[in-house]
Amino acid sequence: MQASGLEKFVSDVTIYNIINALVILGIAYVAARVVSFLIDWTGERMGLKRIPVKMITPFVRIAIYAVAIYYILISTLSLTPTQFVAVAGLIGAGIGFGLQDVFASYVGGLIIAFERPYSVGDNITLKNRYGEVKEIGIRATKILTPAGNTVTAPNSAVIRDLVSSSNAGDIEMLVVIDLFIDPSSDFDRAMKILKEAVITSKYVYVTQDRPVFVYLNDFPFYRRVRAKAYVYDLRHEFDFRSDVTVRAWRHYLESGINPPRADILNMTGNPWPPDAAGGEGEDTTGGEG
Amino acid sequence: MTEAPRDRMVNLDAEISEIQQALAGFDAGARRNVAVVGYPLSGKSTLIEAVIARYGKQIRKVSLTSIRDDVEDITAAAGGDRIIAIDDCQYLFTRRIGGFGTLERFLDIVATSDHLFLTTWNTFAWNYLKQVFDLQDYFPVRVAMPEMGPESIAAIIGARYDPGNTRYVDDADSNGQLWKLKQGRFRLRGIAAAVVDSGRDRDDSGLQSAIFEKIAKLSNGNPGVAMAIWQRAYIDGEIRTGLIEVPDFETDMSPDQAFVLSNILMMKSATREDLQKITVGHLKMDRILFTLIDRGLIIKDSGRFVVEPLALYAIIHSLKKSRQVW
Repeated sequence: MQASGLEKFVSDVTIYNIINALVILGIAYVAARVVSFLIDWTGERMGLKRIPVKMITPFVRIAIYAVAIYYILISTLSLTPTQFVAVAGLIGAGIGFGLQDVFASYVGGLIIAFERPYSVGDNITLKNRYGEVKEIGIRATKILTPAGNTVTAPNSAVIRDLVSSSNAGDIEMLVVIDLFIDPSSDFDRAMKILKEAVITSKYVYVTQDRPVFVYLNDFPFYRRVRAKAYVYDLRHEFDFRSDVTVRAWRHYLESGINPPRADILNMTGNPWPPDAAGGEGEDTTGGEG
Repeated sequence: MTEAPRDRMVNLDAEISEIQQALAGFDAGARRNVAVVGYPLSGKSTLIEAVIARYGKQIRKVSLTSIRDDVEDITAAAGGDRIIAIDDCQYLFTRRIGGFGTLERFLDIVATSDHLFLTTWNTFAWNYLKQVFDLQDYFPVRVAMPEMGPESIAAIIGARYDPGNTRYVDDADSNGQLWKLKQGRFRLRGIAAAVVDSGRDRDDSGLQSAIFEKIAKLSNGNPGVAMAIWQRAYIDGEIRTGLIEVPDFETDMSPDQAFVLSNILMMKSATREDLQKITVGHLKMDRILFTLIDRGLIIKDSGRFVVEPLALYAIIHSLKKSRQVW
């Protein structure tokens, strides 16, 4: 009678096989790193086409590890397909009970690879962290924040939390720039200046599908002039914001357009405006127009 | 109507005909302004000249050569002429805050005037203004400058360089000999060159055709670039096939360098002061201009910076790739 998959699996686990499996996993790890590096390197040389190139990285990594595991179970342990399924099921159940979070992260990795809520190179907000996706691993996603920190978020977050992608696979990205002015200032001129600051920026990208909008909103003690425009490469998001803001404010002040009077709200010395302290970590793509 | 022999040679008949229809329509009471749009050096001015030469009535022509702060004088100078031709309209704006006032006034005039406006625009300025100012609404007739074929390129070059006094030298093999000379010192360069005097035998016409085909291909059918390629290969009355080429250019640029270069490309030519105004003095302009000149991408001509013709398409390719121009 043929031994069950589990019995055969246990009987075949020898020191030699364990070492063999570890070597294979090590080779797979190195291969995955090397291939990821090569894809990343190639993508960076593709300039604005880097995101489509980098999209294949998660698939390649999963494929390499899948082949490695298959090789360990089939070739090293010589399991038949039936035994393989039985062992895989038992291992899966064991992992599921004992290492739920880790397992969820691996499942999350598969979901990211196939559903693609975001890709390598996208700017995303994940678990309240905003930044560029540098790596989508089997277990975790690495994000480079604007401050230069690398944040590692488990892939399970994609199942449990809201994930927002600012560019959804495109290299250009919508950027919202708010300027706050005193209600007595000439708002028509303020809107015109902000629009011209946007369309003359060296970072702007304007097409029929990527237009520039400028809106005005009235608030009790100030007015908000908001521009929505695309930066040609999401990596220049903050350069774009800074470039537009600096040039627009220079012309505002020359044109007698002033910032809101903080003293009305008894806010002298405090940051202005009171609700705009999100800084670089905030989600910059949404909001009302 | 007057015939203009040169434009017949360069085969712009379709474009001329399209503009003539707009002029005829205007005579019949339909005012449809015309925009001729083309790359730098593509022959927009030549096309306008050809149209004016063929049109029987008076057309007031204004060639803009630098950034304009006013436009009212253009229409005032038209006097009784009902058609105004304005060449290089990209000089009506600068890409900076407050740099669109002249253009806005011009477009107001175009929208309300009784004149017909026949205008030429740099492609990149046009594409930019089309996105940010809906420029196309003001110019219902738009004529794109075509890529010219070898025959047209030959005609344009022939108008300046007498083909009868040019010697065509196929020294493509001699380049191979040069390689051999370096490797094994077999033969001196040029000994194997097949020298063919123009108009003397039947092989010459074949060689000429091959040369102009190569020039047309390398220049992307741009007559200005073709002329530059020719001049590079023209030495002492001889054209050598081995010298007909476009050199490689280093076009990897920082955003600042690309922005300055895109403005020079868009405007056709710019002074240092123009560029300083555009960048509001934020950039190290002298260093950027030095780098661009050093790489052979731009040249300084009479105080104005212009794109080096041979580098034109390398620049366009690079700036399009980095989305600095559309």
